[in-house]
Amino acid sequence: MGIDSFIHAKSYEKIICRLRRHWFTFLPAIGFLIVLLAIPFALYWMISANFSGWLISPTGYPLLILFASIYYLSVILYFFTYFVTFYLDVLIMTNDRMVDIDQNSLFSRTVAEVDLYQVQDASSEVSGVFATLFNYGNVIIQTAGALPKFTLHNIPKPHDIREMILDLSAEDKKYHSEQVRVEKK
Amino acid sequence: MITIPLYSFLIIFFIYLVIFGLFFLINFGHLFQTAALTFTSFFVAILLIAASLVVLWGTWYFLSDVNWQQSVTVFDTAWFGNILSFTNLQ
Repeated sequence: MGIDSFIHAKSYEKIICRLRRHWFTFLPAIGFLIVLLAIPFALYWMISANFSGWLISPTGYPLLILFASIYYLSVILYFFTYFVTFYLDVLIMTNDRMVDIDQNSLFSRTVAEVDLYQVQDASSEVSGVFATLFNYGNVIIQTAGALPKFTLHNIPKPHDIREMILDLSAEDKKYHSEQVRVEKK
Repeated sequence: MITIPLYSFLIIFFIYLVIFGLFFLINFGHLFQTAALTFTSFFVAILLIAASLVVLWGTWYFLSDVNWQQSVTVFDTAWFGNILSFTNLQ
């Protein structure tokens, strides 16, 4: 399924960009994954030092192997689910609207959209050492739509994105006012 | 004393593998459904599939010589015999 059909793009609509969270914000998850992968090795060292009989037991050994296998597969699945949740947090910007997809968990997704001409104000913030070094932060958008406030978390180049949103919004407002003028005639 | 054959745990393991595969497919389906199947996500998925296959191969390698017909004691009253015995309190 293409992105156009997912957001039900109109005939005149062009996708300007897709914004995801900055890759640096995913690094803590990789660190946590490495710690989780190391735990069975630490447990093996403890068991071989204190309960070495379990490792040569004809029933204990296969049970330990099965337990370790289930553990590692669960860690892989957890990491994949976390990655999908991270990667599916995306803002799709078109020349007509913004579609914000938030994958909250595996079975929970929020899709919100706002027309660009309804954007009233946009502000951007970058705070923290790593955010400043890698240039990522939040963009807060005030709208006149059903969702009065949109926040885009940890996106790259937030100041540039803010300017782009305001420019696109101005263009869309101009387009809509011209359409209204044409319809009145 | 309650004993079960060791292959019971293998059956539980296979049931877990089915659930694992199902959730893996659900994750993949999410990527496909939201048009998020890019090079990055595809590469990560392939990497994790490879890691899962390595784990499964390692499991098979370490368990290939196991006699699955042997019994495992899951409950034995003798484990609690000393706690319940009043003669030991004297």
